[in-house]
Amino acid sequence: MNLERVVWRHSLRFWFLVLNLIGNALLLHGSLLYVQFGTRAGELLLGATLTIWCVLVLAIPDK
Amino acid sequence: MTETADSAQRREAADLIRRYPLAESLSPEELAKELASVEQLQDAALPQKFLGYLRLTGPGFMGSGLTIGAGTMTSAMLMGTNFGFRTLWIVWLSIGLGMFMIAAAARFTCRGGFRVIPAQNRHHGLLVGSLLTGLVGVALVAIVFNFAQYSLACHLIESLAALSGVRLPRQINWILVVPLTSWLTLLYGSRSKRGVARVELFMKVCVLLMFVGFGFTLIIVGISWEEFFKGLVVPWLPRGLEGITIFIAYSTAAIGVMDWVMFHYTSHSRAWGPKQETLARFDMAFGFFLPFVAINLLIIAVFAGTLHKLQLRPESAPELASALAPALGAYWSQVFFYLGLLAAPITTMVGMSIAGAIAIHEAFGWTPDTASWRWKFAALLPQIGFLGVWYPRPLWLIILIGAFLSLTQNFAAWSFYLLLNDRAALGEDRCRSFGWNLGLALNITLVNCVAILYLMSQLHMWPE
Repeated sequence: MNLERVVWRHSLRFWFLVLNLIGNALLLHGSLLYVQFGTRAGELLLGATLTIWCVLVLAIPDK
Repeated sequence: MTETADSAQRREAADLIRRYPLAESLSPEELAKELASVEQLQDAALPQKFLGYLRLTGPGFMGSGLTIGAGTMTSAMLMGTNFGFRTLWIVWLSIGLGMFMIAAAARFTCRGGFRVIPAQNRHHGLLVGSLLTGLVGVALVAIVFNFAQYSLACHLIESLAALSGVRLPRQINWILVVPLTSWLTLLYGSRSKRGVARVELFMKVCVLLMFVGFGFTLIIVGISWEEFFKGLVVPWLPRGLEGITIFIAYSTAAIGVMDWVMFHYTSHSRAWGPKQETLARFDMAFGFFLPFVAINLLIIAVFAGTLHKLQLRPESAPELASALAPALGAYWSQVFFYLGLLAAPITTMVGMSIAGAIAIHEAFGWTPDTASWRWKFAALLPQIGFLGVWYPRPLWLIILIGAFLSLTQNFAAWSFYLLLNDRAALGEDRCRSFGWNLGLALNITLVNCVAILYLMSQLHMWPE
């Protein structure tokens, strides 16, 4: 994946940072509701998956 | 060395010095000598290499001296008092993750040769560079958080004097702290007196004092090695949301924007270039990471072995220190303990004041001239923290700056990460390592979580 490709005035690397932030928010909100009420396991899983995916993509260097 | 090689090295040294005005206290001859010894050390035997590099360290100790202050001390004391040895693993993990960002800061200095805040301004805009990184992340934090340093330092001096039967209340003893910290702050980068080296030496001595002070205390109170090693390697957190909050709060409290910026600019003040990048990493490991981890582990272990076992739960640093002191028995052990504690806020005051002055100048595009009134004013602004002796918590300011910092630190982290991966900024010296980027991405994820948690708690979604 070429993370340096510019999409909507910014590099893909930047957009993955934004996506990671969204993933982090879903993860925290999902864990809050799951721990307190046992609900929203889907949101928790989606947030965790998105976070892990983004972190792994962001780790790819531009060689 | 031949004459040609010698003059080439002097030219290189002069070029490195010209990169940043605070390096002008170095002479090209002196720096050329350092460059030559760094080159020689590359092929030296390991013990010789280690000692040689250790002699040349500095910015790392400036960083650990700055970071280990009232906040870190209080966190470590509370961790030990509340959870015993069980959260020791967070210490090395959090500072370890922070080191990826420090390595980026070192890369910008050594190989990029640029100054990070103006570079952020060029690549990511004034909002991210001057405002979020320079003014909010460093300068305002330096001013506001100095109140807590003063409060702790003056409490400790009062207790230390009381041990010798002298009454020196904090409402008076702050008069001793102001000249000492102001002098050290203004000494840094001053042209005539090798100021950078002297302040770095002061930081090294204080870090050593903290290590000896807490090490001595730990010998007196004793330690359960089994619990210690278990806490170091087996991750444990309280169940539920408390565990998540504690993990995120503690793992990001250790290292922040100010530390990244400080390491970057103090390396510039030493005129470090491409040949010193290995030295910068050595300094990062042995001047910053190890002292920070060792001192925090010692503090946690001391409090885990005493107040935690006694089920005592004081909440502020002075209360924690006063609760522990009687358990240390003899006069000298208490003196060592208080001196170790006192070194922390003093070094932080000096470090924060220098970082604040650097950041203010970079944010406004001013040339840092340590002889100017503007530099002196910027460097001494945090001294207003002496009011902390009477008002230990300017609560509205702490809330305001804490909010800004929580919500914006991640954008500064994004900017550092993007710069490190930017061909336009670093060319062939950009990050080529998956592991390094992975560490940065994890660090960014943690600081993102701080911002999100802050927002959620403001919206009363996250329990207190």
